[in-house]
Amino acid sequence: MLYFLTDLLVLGCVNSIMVVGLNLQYGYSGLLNFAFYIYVAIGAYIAAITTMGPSTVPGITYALGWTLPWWVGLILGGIVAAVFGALVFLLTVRRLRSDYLAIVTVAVAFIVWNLIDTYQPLFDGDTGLFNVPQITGSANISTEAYSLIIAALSAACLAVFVWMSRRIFRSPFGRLLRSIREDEQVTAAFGRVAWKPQIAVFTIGSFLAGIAGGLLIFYISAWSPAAFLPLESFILLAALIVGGSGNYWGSLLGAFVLIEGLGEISRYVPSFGNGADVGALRAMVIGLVLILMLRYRPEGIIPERWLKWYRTKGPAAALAGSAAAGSGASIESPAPDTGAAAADRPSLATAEVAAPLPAAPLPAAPLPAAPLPEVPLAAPRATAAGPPGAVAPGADILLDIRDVVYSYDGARAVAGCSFSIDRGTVTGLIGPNGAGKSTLVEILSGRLAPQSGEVVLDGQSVGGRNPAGMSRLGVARTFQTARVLPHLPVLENVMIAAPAQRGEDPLAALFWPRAWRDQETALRREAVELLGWLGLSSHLDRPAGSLSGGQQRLMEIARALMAHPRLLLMDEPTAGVYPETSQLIARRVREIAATGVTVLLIAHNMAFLSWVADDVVVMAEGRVLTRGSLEQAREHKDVIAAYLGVAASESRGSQASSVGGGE
Amino acid sequence: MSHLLQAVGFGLATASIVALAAVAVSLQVSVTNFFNFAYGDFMTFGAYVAWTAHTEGVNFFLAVLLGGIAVGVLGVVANYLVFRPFMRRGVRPVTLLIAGVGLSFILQNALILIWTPAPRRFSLNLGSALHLGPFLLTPGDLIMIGASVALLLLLHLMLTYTKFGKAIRATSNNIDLARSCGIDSDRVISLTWFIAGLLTAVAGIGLVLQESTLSPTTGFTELFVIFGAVILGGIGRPYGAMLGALIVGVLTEIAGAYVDGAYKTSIAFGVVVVLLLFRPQGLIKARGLIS
Repeated sequence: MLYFLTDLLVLGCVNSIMVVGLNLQYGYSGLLNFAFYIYVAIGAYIAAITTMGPSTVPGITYALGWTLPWWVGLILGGIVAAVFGALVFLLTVRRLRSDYLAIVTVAVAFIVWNLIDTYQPLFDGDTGLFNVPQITGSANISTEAYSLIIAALSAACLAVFVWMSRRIFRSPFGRLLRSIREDEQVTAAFGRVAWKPQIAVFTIGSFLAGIAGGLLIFYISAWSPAAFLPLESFILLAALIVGGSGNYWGSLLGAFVLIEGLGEISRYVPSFGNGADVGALRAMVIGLVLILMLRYRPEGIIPERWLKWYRTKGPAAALAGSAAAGSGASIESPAPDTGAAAADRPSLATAEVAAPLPAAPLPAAPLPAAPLPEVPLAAPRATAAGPPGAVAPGADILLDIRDVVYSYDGARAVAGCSFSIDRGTVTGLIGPNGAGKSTLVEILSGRLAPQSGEVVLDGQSVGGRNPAGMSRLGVARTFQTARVLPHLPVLENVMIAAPAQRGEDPLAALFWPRAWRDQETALRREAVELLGWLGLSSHLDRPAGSLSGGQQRLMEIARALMAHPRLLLMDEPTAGVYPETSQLIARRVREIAATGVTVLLIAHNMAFLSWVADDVVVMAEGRVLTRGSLEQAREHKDVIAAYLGVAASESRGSQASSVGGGE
Repeated sequence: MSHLLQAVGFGLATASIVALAAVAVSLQVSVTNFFNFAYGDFMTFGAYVAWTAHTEGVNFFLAVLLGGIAVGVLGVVANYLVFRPFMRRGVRPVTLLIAGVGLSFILQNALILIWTPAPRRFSLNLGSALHLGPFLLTPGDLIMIGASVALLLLLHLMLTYTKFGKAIRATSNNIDLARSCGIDSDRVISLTWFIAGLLTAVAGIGLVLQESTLSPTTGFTELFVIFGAVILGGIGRPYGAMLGALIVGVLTEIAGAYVDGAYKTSIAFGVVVVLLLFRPQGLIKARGLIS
């Protein structure tokens, strides 16, 4: 009976270590590794051959004869598995979509397995390993006692690994992994290169696999290459998904319930048919449970969001006190910003939010007139401009676009576009559908490289940089259709954008929280204030996917500001948004510009433009049609022609116009 | 040299099998944008149906047809019961891949329950190998190559000239647009599953005849060779899959001739991985790949 329990405990803990490792790879960062078990095998082999003595049995060649202490072998096994994981990642994973990479990981694992299984001189081929020494050495102890020792060791390792998972989860490194998992392009737009954190976590996961393999072989003392069946990897994956991927407690639950529990239950199923039938039935049940879970409860029995830290200490709670400042109006109830909020930010004239703005050009009075002493916007990076709000138009060019060209497979979207933008101004970019506005924004954000022409930011030529590079130069953006990280809380969505987070370094995240904790607190406060300023205080903890369209756009603005940009690109910030929210966005954009941030926004809503834009650039057919105030643009006959689709271009001579659409 | 050419000859036979399955996978991926992990088991199922029919005395070609129809129907049913509900919810392709793992568990073990894990012998006695120029091929190989070429040609004609074929291509190009043009995309997807199942079954039977034995894991062990060919050719590109299959098949046999038969699959995988390093989008640019 005791042996039954300790045996169960050993296997439960070892399987749990594997699932926790798999959770780091798939649950935390979305990297699907179908060949996880090969890393377990590598750990087992290395642990065995480094601790065994010289071969005494003729024909056995694998033993190196090093007779290292067991714990050295164990750690070596982990390290070799980790190095192998890193190599596989570098070779294959970096550039493939995660379902394709899963297939490639299997191909690589097959090569390794094939080598071990077939190439005799290496590990004695398909004979496998046996007589692996016990960690107690030659001491003569009972099977029960030995299994108890291994159980204690495995439980200790498991505890350490769960603690590591927890650390990573709560650190900026973990947040970065989650955001890459949710939407790699968003993280790229804020300067993050996905593969660096991913390779770190893939390596750590492989290390855990190696340790689990070492523990297993010290326990069962034999290993056959036939045991690396891909089936094992899939059962681990099923356990992870059933338990709850992303949540380390879910990993433990899955390992114990699905692997151990089902294994034990199937022992009691009376044997029927031929010998393999019970096992086959068990595998069918696992397959069915996997499909049903994915379909009806994809987040698993214990979802990621149930982690206690997420609910209490997590995103919002640290600010329970100070966050009161942000308890301003939410968007659905555009009640006046009263109380704390108003006191905090006199610039947000009370009751202004509720009172609809006049449809005519926004009276300039309430907005720029008030100084903005306490707008929680950090100064943009490397501003050469004077004090906020004091920028004179034309004084200082931030962005200069010169003759930029971009074609999609022959269709010229941007055809020699040139204009410049002054620092601290708000420029509206308008034009009929197909004018090339969004393409231009994609070029400025680094997602597309201009095929010719130049983009100059603050005197520096920047055309052709990738999104991460543009982000590091101080360009932030919102997307044409709001892109949020749907399963992450609003606060985390915003915090990921902050530049230079020290806790994103895996080693610092794991072993030196003091290096980043203060920065983290400050960032959290900043994010809470920004969200409060945008009316989202009561939604900090909600998954961003559950926000309304307008709220998502507001959240995107907060996220972009979190990056402390010099240039803010906004692609249709008011598309599909309630008029009240549009007014709030207009107000905020003016205030953002007043701090010296330069804003370029695409919009179709003329009322909105009249509130926010200092001037507008009108594009049609990939070129600048005209530039000036909105009124001037409205009266310009080419603009009217471009929007209404009249044969317009006689005056300009070039293309016959067939511009359709428009607002 | 003649050694090499002979290996190429074997390679053509292997490639013709891999090509059928790879084109089936690729066609389905091009329409649904995910990998069905259970294709290996589809192949095995088709082979078992054909084997059962054949041992019961049914004419071989009729048995192949029965196997093909059985797998085609299995594909349609699997789509309805397993995959379609996920696709309607718009989940990530990874989720569908994992759902396919679950389906593979169920199918593979159902095969064990029905036909037991014991390997079965399945071969046709068609006489000894023939010398054709530099190649040495068995009549079975020749039939397989012929069948594969004929089926792929038929598929090509169907995709190019028939209304259904055009509907499939339209759906794979842009499912929403196809839908709004009045194409019944559900029907197109079902049809695609059926055709893919049919081709897969023929490939499975070819595989089994080449190896002369059949067990519940026969198809599964070949799954990654097929996926390798698909990825190499460019995911979602049926014509690329043919090219990928040709490369994988011929390489496998050349490696088998020169190194050691035991490593031939590894070498093919190695080449696929290395080629993907230089061309992650596949030989013909894949769809939906993030790079």
